Amino acid sequence: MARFVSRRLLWTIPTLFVITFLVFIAIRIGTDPVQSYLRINPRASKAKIQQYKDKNGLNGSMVSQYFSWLHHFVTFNWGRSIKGNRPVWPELKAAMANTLVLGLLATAIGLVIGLAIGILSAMRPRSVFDEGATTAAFVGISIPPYVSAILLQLFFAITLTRWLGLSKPVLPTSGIYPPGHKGFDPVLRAKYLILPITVVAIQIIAVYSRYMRASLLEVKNSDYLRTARAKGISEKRILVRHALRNALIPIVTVAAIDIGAIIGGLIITERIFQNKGMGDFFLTAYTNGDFPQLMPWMVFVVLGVILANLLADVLYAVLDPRIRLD
Amino acid sequence: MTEIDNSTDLELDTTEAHPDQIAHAIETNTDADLTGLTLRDESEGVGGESLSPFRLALRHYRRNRTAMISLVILVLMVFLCLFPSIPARYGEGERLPKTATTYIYSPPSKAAWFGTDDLNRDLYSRVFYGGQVSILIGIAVAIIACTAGTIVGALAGYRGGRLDDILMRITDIFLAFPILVSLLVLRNVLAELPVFSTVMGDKSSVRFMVLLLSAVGWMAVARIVRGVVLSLKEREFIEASRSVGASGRRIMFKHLIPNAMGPIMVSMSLSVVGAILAESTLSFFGYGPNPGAGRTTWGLLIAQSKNTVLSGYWWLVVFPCAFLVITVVCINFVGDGLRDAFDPKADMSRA
Amino acid sequence: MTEEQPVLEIRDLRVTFPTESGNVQAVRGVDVTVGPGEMLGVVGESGSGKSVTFLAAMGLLPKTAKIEGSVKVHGQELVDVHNNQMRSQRGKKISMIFQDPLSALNPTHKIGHQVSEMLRSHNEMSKAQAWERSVELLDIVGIPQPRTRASQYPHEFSGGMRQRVMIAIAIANDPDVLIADEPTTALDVTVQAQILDVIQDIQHRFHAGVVFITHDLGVVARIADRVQVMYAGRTVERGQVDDIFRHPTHPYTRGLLASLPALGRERLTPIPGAPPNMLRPPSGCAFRPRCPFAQEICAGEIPPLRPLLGLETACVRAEELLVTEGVA
Repeated sequence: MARFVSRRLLWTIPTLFVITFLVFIAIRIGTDPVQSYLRINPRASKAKIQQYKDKNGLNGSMVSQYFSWLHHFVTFNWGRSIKGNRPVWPELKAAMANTLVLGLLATAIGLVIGLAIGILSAMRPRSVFDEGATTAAFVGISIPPYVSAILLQLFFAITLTRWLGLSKPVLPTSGIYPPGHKGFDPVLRAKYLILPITVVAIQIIAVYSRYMRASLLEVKNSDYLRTARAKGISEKRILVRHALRNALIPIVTVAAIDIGAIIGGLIITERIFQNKGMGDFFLTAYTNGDFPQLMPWMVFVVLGVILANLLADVLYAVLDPRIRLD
Repeated sequence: MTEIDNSTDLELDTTEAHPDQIAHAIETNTDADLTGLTLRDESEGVGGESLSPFRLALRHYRRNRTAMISLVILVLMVFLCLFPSIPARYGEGERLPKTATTYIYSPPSKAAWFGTDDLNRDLYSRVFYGGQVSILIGIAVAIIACTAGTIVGALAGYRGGRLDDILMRITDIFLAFPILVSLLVLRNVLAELPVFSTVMGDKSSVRFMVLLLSAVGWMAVARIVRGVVLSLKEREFIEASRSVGASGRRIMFKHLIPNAMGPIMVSMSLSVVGAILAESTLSFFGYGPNPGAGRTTWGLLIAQSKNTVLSGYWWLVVFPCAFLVITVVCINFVGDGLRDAFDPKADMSRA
Repeated sequence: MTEEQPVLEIRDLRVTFPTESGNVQAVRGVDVTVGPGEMLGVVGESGSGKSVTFLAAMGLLPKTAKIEGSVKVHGQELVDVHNNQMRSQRGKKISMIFQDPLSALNPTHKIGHQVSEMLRSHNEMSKAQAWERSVELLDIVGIPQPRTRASQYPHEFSGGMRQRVMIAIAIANDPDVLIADEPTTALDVTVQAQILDVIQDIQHRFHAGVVFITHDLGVVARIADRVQVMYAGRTVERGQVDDIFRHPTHPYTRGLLASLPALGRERLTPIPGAPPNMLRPPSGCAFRPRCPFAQEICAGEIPPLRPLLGLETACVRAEELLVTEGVA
């Protein structure tokens, strides 16, 4: 096991090389930093432009540009954003923290609810509950996050307020704290997180309730459940120790991968609710063509995906004794 | 009668099974056959004729109420959107005369069923005009992506080797990133590179959008088809074909692909959904297609409404969203019904 | 039959499954008696009801199944009994082993744990005690190095070994009745013999009543004391092994024996036709459509079992046929 993990971690390095190179090329082509620089500083003199290029290693071929970027990256010299000329790392760090809070909370809540619904559905297939849950899941999958986000905003900011005749909305619909707020206030933070978490959780619940249902149904058909029943043990024990024990294996591994995808995956929700996380960071950087911000962001996303995949493989081997890691 | 307390039982339900299967299943101790028993094994029609897999699937589909209802709604929706002049009450860019009930940002009224927008245009009519573009984009992308994806996926699955490796690597990398990120980055790349931009047109054109979405969409289809082909490859009837000398291409087209029709149809429906949703998401953030003066898409309608949410013009948000969601839901149900009709044992809720 | 009280008594068992197209009558009035230490071989084709009968006895049928009749294990009635009571008997007084040992064992639980689970669900035992006993049981069924093997998983065992594990689980609580549902069908022939030995050993060592369900007459001939032949949900012939093999009286039994490959036999004579549709079984004797000796009388009432020549038969023309056709 340890050998497997260390080998995979070792492999991460060349993988990162290749992927960051490809990503570099793609972003470099699509988002010319010089262009962006010029957009912000339209009256920069030729000398200034050349100075900018020198400082950021933008001379020479694509390959050499990549290596100079790489050099800067690993020496933690991440430069400053084109727009606003702010250091990249602090903002990126803050964005990462926000996304993790939102993402992990939403995932935890979504998984608990989603798996519970899936289990109940599988225990009574084709019942009213099951049909209802399936329909709800389909609708959930079909509503894109920005639609649910906007509708929730509309409802809470306007409709509910009007109905209840309030002067202020029941739930805040954007931001992390009220404007001007300083410091850490968990209650307030939570209040501001309710709507964005709901939006993300809806997707998770819809998807995982279906997964769980499918996985459990498949296990239900297994012969070993009949053997377990032939032993005379209680249905509850059969459900938990036998059925779920096996049905959860594929779910856990998929969840690990999905969690890895959270890092860059909440773009829409964060933007709509003005939650300054990784997704929002990307969108701003993209709109501004802010190359120095985009590249580190990409690296983090890729790293997250690679680590999540590793975690998923490890979990799979731990949970299923039939899987041998080489 | 055995009385059993079953509030948490994982027991099986035989009421939808075919009698011979029950007897056989229990005799051979394979409860596995008891659930998931389908009409398919009852391959004799009412009059005892043998039914082809397609007709069987059709029959099974017809029994699925939700799928049938969704199909009806979907057909209606697509028809009305593809021929928007039928349901529309006004022209697409037509500005209504200012009256007591129809003014800029007026709520739904008898003259304007869904209210009006910032230029006093009838939202109801525009929803259909917008639907036309959105749905056409969805269909176009589905056709291109599925054709390309099926061919590549089938080839990769059947031939294996280098081609397969390359395919898996490329798709792995792309699918590792959030789709929106891939779309946005690719959008810029394709717009900048002269090689592509001539083919694809300006980055705000509909043609560009279709090609962009197809460029990302084919990958998911290719992976699904590859998977199906891999599993089919091992089956005996392929061996049999090969042993009578059928060429690779013949095997692929006459045997593999027809047997993969179930998953392929599912990928088509998923592609349409994916394309419609992707276009609307991109439009929402301002990176979508601009279909021309006065013309619109569902995504654009929603995007334009987002700034007015806090002003309380709910109709601008709700109606386009409703149409979008209803269409997507119906496609999903139809797709699921198709999957179920072709092979109820497979669960492809994740493509 | 021994003088002791039978360990398993099934009387007039009827099992029906409701389906889309109607009710499948899987079992239509079956009696079974098994004494302690006795091995009953139950023979029949797919669809004969042989498995369903005993699944019903174990209470392992889907809840939609309609069960009527009586099943008594050591005098204790099991039909129409509350679920919890059934559960306490299952695995303790009556247990079962199944056909495919690979899928019948939970792939994610250690072997030792799977045996322990059987022990601890019916006995007050600590984990350690149960584990010890599990190792002993694995040894009894002939698994080499049982202590090491107990910590392994099913996929690390061969087919024969897995079936031994299943047997170990089944006998863990010293049941009165052991039901073996085609335990050797999925195994290699060489391994089959070993498993048969194990089962016979269990039968004698624990003095348990064993029901051996199979479609393989050769196996029956080898280990069973008595044989019960089933067809279309009913018993068609029953008796001591020697009697059944030497002078079968029912045309179905004869057909089965005739279709066995044997030295000196040049051609195989299978029984023509296919098993009946249990939605609407034929009236009277269900074997009628495939029976070379069928006559009008066979379409009358469903023939009951009646004694003849030391065994029991359900063929109304049995005596006639003995005369005209001779002993098979």
